[in-house]
Amino acid sequence: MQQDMIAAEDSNLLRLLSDALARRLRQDGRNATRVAPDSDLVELGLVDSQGLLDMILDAEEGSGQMFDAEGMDFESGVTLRRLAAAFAAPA
Amino acid sequence: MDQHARHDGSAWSAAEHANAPPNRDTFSAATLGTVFHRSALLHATRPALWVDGEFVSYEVLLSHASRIAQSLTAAGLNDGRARCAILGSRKLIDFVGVVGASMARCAYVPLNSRHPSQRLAQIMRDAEAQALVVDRNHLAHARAVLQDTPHSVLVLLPDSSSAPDWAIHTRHRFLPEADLPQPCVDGPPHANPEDGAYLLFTSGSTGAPKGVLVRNRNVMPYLRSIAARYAPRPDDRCTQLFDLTFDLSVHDMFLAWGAGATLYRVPDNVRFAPRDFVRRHALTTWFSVPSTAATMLGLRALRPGDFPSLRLSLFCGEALPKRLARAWAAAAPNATIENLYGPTEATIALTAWRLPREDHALDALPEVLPIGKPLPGQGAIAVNPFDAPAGEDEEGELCLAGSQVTDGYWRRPDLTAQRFVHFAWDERVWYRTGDRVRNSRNHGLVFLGRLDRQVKIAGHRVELQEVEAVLHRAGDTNAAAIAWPIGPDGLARGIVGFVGNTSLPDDALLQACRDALPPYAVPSAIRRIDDWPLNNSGKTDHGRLRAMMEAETCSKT
Repeated sequence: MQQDMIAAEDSNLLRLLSDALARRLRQDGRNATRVAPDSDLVELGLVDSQGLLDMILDAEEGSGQMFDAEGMDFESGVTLRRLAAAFAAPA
Repeated sequence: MDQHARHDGSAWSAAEHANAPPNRDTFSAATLGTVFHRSALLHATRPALWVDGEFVSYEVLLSHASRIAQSLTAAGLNDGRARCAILGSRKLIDFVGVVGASMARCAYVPLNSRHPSQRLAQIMRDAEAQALVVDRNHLAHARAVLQDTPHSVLVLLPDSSSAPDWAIHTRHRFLPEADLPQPCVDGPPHANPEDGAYLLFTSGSTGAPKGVLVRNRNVMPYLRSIAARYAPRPDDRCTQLFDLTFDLSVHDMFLAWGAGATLYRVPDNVRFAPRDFVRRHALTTWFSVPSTAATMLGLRALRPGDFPSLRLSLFCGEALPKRLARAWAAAAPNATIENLYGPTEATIALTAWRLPREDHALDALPEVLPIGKPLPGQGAIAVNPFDAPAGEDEEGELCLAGSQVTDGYWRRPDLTAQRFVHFAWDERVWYRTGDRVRNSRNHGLVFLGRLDRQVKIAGHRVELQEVEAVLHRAGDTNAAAIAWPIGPDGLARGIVGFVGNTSLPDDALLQACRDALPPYAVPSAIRRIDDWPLNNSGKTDHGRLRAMMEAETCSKT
């Protein structure tokens, strides 16, 4: 049950982050096809630091949850799935 | 590359750092190549570089670099006037190329692999670089650059076993790893302060990048001043965040290497928020643009007490907001924090200002922190519209003089004459920065903004006219660019492009920008204007365009 809840939260955050990324790409005049959850956004050149920050703020606003940078291992790659997992559950 | 020469980082650090000999007169050397060579002999087995998870010792870096140096020497490119381009993305080969070119008395010309090929080819042509160092991961990029390079280039491939198939169809000569001379650790012969050290290209207001050749007689005074100011030590572990196309990377490399310290190339993924990286490696010196700290603050990855290992934190490249400096001071409680200032034309940084630690002193500072006073032997002065020194608390254009000021723009005497000038009250050549400053009685020089349309995006210089030239060419219509949005800390986050009537869709306009401009200069959005705003002189009214963006932002909030 607990696991299902976590999965549901992650999936909602994944959607919010994915939507935020798509909006950003569209704004940049780029093809906004869905980006796979495990694609490295930096390696693909899809976000810069400002883009990443905007995406996270959008997802925070949409979910009411806070991004926890300590829960994110940036070195292993910046993916939608890792970003989603670094959001803390609402207090 | 010799994998056996690398070592386990933690074991090495503990043993080697404990026995590190003190740095002596490395920085008295005449050239960057000699600085590295002296240090490499002194600190041979110590780690010079951490890159992609592995340490590279001074002797190994010297050995690899010597093969580049000898290749350039054998080709006759060692007279202090030749240029060697380096195409990459801060990988080991790029650092090897920098040291190798410097040891061969060749000015290096960094080419950023993230920039469009069209731009890199233009830089290759303008620089007339006679050689190119490229790693195997960037061969495809090199092909695109070399096919648009009309002169013959010696292409060095230090980690490729053979030349690529397409090489045979070019006018260039390729030397794969096996054809490079064997390592030789003799010092750079006849190193001369007049030798070119590096040639950097920055955004140009005429629509094309403009070059600045920095000679060793410009960069060595900087390194000596800064080494005396910060006393780098062999046990220092220093961040390496800047692309090699950013001259602050010269400070990174040669201040660390001259001291026998270790340079930690922060991986691209971590450059956003290197908090864990700094903590894990217990780094002792930090150097970044304020935007990096701003991103960390935004991600809540900058917390009080985060960086106890830092003894020195330097910021440069754009205005440093007080709010950010205060957060950094709390995160790095043991660090001396300084704000450096300087354009490429005056070699890395020419003024420095130290952040006070006392709260009451911080409170009294302006919201954008001062840029301080000139380094020893250099001149920095606010000049009023009558070309006289501004008085106390008066505003003026910041002008710089001294040994760090370069000779001017690369093969652009017209631009040089505009910016490198003489004043009646001084014999020296002064560089007009275009920066507006106040000569504050209490704080020294305080940055107020620009007199022209240059902006900084994450520390990168962008002449908005260059963006406009690309939009104008692509759309064949009126075009303008403004920096937008401006964050709460006053730092510009991006650029918005405006165009008049054109049938070209937004994505085609943006693609034209991506083909010609570095990523940070590509507009994040295009706005179309039917009724193009003109001022009384019949020129584009940028103030009205800015007001439109402000109104748009207000209507959204």
